[in-house]
Amino acid sequence: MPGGSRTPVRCLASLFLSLPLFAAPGPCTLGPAQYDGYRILAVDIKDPIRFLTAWFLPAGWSAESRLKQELRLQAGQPFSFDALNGDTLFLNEQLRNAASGTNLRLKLTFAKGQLRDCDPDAGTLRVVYSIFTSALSTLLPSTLEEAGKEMERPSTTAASRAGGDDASDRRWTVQPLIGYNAARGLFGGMDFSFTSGNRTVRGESALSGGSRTGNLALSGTTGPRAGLWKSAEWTGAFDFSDTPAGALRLQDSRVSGRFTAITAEKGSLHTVFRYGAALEGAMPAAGSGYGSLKAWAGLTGRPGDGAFSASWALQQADSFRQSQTNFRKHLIDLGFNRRFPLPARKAPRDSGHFEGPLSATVHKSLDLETRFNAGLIQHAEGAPATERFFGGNQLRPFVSDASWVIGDDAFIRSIPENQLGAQTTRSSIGGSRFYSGNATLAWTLWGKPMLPAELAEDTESGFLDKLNGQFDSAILAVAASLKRNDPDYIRASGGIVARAAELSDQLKVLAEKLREIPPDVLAKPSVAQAVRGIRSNIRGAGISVEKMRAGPAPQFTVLLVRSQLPGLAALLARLAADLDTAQTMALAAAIRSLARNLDETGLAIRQTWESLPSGIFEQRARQTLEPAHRALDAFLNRLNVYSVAPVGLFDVARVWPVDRGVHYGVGGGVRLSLANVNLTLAYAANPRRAPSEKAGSILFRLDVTSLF
Amino acid sequence: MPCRPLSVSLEVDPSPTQRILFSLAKTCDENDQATWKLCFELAEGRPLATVVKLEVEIEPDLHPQAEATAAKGLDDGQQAQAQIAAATAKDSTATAADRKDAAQQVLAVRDMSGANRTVVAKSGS
Repeated sequence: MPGGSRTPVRCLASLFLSLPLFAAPGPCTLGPAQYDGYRILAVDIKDPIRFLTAWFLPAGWSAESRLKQELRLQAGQPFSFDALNGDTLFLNEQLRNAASGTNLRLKLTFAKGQLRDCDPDAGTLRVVYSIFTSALSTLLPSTLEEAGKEMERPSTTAASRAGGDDASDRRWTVQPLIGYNAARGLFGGMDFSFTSGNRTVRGESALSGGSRTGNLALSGTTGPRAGLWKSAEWTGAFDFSDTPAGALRLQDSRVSGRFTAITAEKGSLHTVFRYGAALEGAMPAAGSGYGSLKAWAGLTGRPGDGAFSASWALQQADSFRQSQTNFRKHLIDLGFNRRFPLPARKAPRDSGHFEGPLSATVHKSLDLETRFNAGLIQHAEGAPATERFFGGNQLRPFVSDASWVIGDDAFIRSIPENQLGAQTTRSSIGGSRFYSGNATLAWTLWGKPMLPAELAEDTESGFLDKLNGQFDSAILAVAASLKRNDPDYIRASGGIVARAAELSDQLKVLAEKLREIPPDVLAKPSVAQAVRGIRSNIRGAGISVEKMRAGPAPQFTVLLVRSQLPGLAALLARLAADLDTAQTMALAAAIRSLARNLDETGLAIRQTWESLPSGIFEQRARQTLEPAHRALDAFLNRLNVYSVAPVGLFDVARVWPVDRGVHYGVGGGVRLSLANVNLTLAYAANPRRAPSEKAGSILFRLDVTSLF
Repeated sequence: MPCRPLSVSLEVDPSPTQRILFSLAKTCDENDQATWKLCFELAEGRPLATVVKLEVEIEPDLHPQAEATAAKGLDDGQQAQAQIAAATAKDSTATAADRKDAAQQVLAVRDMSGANRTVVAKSGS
């Protein structure tokens, strides 16, 4: 059956020959016009801050909805290169308008139209627009707490940094909270904040069958005050708590007024000094009320991939009764975090250029968080139970300020909240001294980076170059501003100011001299063109000179000596030659003489300018822009939209004079960050437990950040 | 490399009362050739209101400067020239041609001697 044996061959051959008809869509290697008429399968806007746009853009601005509807190219319709051009411009304009409300020194918007999966046989393709803005907050403080947020809540941290320093006048955030610990049981609550201008109202409450905690605070911020702070905040707050501590309940409410401030970053460790003070009135449910003066101070910084903090706090209480002893509390709190990128990556230099390649897959890392804190109460017999140390798996802050956490109790995750010092044979419960140390190691294994693959893998449009270029521009602008305000620079550039006055006169004389050109000579096209160019140049140089006369104007000086005067000299030489040709020798000689004078003055200005310092100001400008640089670096290289990380934990703690000895916590769990949902689920075992203690403690915490 | 449209916007030393916006847009024609356009916008006041907006097609001999500016940002001289363009835009004695020329000069004055370097550290610093 020869015919039958050939049939499979023919089938295979026809299948082989038909393969090109069903070729997989490939790269789009031709110019966009070559794809005119192709059917568009899908149109995507790849916005690395797509999740974030809702946070800082005006209501209704959504890359996914409105913008896509307004594009000229739509899925299912024919492709047009002209529409691709138009849509790219439209998207950048939209992004630019949306980000225009910020006063950032560093602002870049970028849109690029790309074609994907071009299939010549099916006549189909996909259209992808990559858009990007650098409008991220530059007020990001260099603190351990910010570093911790990047590790624990990558998406919501990025969201809160988007939109710049003044992106929104009015902003609501609401964060439902669900948690569990063995002392309180299952608890639920809510955090909210409302910001209007530089005023913020914040509140938090959590309730369970056996506990209630909450606070409400009104705060305001103020800008830099030379030598004292970079930013400062005052707060009026009301706090209440009712939590179990063994057989006892710790119940109190307090009102406080406090002030905190943070200085500008210093040195290669990006160290900032922060300090604060508060006046507080407390009313425990059991016992009498008392007032306290609280003071706290500390250093924190973020060198490279690490972060550290060292804080000290003091509380001096006064019951205003002679019969009662006034207690005094001392606290120290030390923290160190370190991120180890996997694979290893060198931490970027201060405002140095971002270097590729960027990762299109999850940013993997080992994140280590450590903390040690200790406390001592003097005259502890006068301290109410709510001020004593109990220890457990709930971090109790000295003041309710999320931006600066100073532990006010032993933190140990294997012991339920308030339980370490609650069970004692002594007459009073709770300790007067404690220490605790904590280490958490998280390993980000799976997830998706914030930066879309289209931008991460884009080498043809030089996305990183553009970002670096914008940083360079901003550094130059900030350096120029620093020079203008530096007394030494002002003094040193005095010679330029004097020469600028001379130059101003010379330009005026030149402008007058141009009027002497006879009309018939001026009618010659080459002369007319030269005169037009000279007048335009005089106008521009005149503005530069006026700026320079008013004081140091380094950028105008650069423009003058590098472009304006050489350009003017070339035009004057051409004009003089034309005047020679037109037999107006005297005028040509006068023009040449004026050109020589301008040249001499320009040379003198150039020499003075070249002797002025510049690098030191660029270095200071880099330091000024470092927070923005760090925010962008985190965005490009660290933050994931969602991620899953196993965590390991180890704690050690002791509370005195409680007869319970040193306790440990050893355990593990998982940390999930899914866009605006953050979940931590872990178990910590108590390996040296007393007979009355549990074998360990479950930690469960879920928060969902939303905004409207 | 086929031409792909892109649009980049840079702001020059923004302040609460003045905004100089400098945008460069690259579009592709039917012959896969790139065309560069410059958009210069000056907004002033509180709240900011647009004082002038210019669109200029960039001459082909300035395309290298346009590419360099889109990629590397504005250098010192360009930042100063952008302010001169803003002053010219507001100058009632300037003609439309003067205004467009001043805007296009933002590209023309780019220092191309160190095309890969925008931030220059000088000796004596």
